[in-house]
Amino acid sequence: MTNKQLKPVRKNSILNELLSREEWARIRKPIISAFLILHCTLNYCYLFNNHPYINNVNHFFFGYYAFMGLEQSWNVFSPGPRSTNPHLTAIVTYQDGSSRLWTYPRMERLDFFTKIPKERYRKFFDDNAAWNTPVVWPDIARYVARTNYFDLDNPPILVSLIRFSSAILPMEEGINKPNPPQSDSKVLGVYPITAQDLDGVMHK
Amino acid sequence: MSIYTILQAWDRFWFSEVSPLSVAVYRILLGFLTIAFILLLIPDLFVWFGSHGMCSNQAVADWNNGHAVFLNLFSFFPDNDQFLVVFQCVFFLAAVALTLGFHARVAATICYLCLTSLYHRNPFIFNAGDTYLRVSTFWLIFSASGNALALTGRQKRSNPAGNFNSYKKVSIWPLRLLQIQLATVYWHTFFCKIVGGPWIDGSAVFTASRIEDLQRLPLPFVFEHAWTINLLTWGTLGIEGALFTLIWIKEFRYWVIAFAVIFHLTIEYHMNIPIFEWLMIVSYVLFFEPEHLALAITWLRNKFTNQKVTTPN
Repeated sequence: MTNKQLKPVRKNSILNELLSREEWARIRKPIISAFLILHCTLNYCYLFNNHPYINNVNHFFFGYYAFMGLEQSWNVFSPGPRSTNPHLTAIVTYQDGSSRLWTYPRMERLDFFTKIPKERYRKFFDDNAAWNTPVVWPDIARYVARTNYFDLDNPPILVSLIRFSSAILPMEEGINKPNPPQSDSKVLGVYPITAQDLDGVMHK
Repeated sequence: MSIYTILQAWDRFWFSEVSPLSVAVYRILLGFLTIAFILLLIPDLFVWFGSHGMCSNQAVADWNNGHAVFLNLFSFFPDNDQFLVVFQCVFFLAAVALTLGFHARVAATICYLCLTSLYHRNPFIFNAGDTYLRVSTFWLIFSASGNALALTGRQKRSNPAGNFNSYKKVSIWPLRLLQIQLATVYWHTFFCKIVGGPWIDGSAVFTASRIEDLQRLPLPFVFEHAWTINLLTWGTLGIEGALFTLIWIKEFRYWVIAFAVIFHLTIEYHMNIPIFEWLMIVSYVLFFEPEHLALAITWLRNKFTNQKVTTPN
């Protein structure tokens, strides 16, 4: 490699304090090349993790990669798009035995403009909380209890989380037919609510 | 082929010099999208990141099996809603600074830190577009995006008489990283799709069109006929395949980009995935020849201002 095109270290650069101009010119390309090779390799290994050796590389560097938030995956709609339509509902049970139904802003019920800022609810509930992230279910239950605590003398004591869903018909059967109603149900969990969970809720 | 030839090719690809104009235009467009990202988060900021929100720090730590050492500014002030407000304000100012090119490298660093912190605080609300924004901002830190079309750093560049072709050239490797990042998106998605199933049998677009929570505006006729669904499914594979291969070839580049823009605008019309499609569209500017961008910017300036300057090649 030739050094003809190398740029000098900038004036007032912190590098000036550490290295002479000639030293930096000598090591610039190897350092940048190492940086490029490392990150391109890590990206490749993370995205195409299909061999034990690749897995070992990922395991070794995962601390750095995850710390920096550089992990990435572009498998949207693959190997196929999601084949179910889900939504999540909560039933809040109060101390006097009454109950109240709660659901989040569901995209299919929102108008054009409202659904744009509310898209995070879709990602959180329909892609994650309704399926594979039980770690957030207790937090959702507490949040629902707090937002549905209207009467100081009648606090929520229980929140049940229920997922409703329906399978999308295959193309051969589904063309020109509406989606089936989301009637398959599964109780994800029933969470008791304590006074501590309701701390800080303001009452009018 | 000798090792010397390989090293020369490596040197030419990563260490030649180029006008900073492409990466500067990209910085401005990415800045606008970062501002949109911030504004769209504001209505439910406390729901997603607040101390009494829907996702606690403990839940995220549990999700990560207790490994909680991540780049996350919220770790310094956990469950502090005042800090969250200050954080969001600083993030907004950094995004504005990035757009204007006010200490662009510092602004990009702050934007990256904020995006990464939000992701590590609540990873369950972010989609692929947010990941792309975060990773792109990281690469942007290394680029000389502030050496053109920027408020500060004018001493580093020469731009006599507003000639957009005369910027002092900069090292190309950060631009290459951004280009490779874009190509990687399509490379990975393409290979994840061609393993078989609905993308090969031609039905994937039908299933995608039936996901109720993603629908924005209806697309009549297209999703009611098998042949149009097949065409769109295989067309998607074709466009995504071209976006990591043919886009590197000068003669095909603008054609590929034109098809890709139509492709993403169609998705934007039909599906509610805010910002993502626009992010992909603005990223194509990284593949534009700087001379063509200079011509376009000169035309825009002449159109909207009284200055009449021509850009010599």
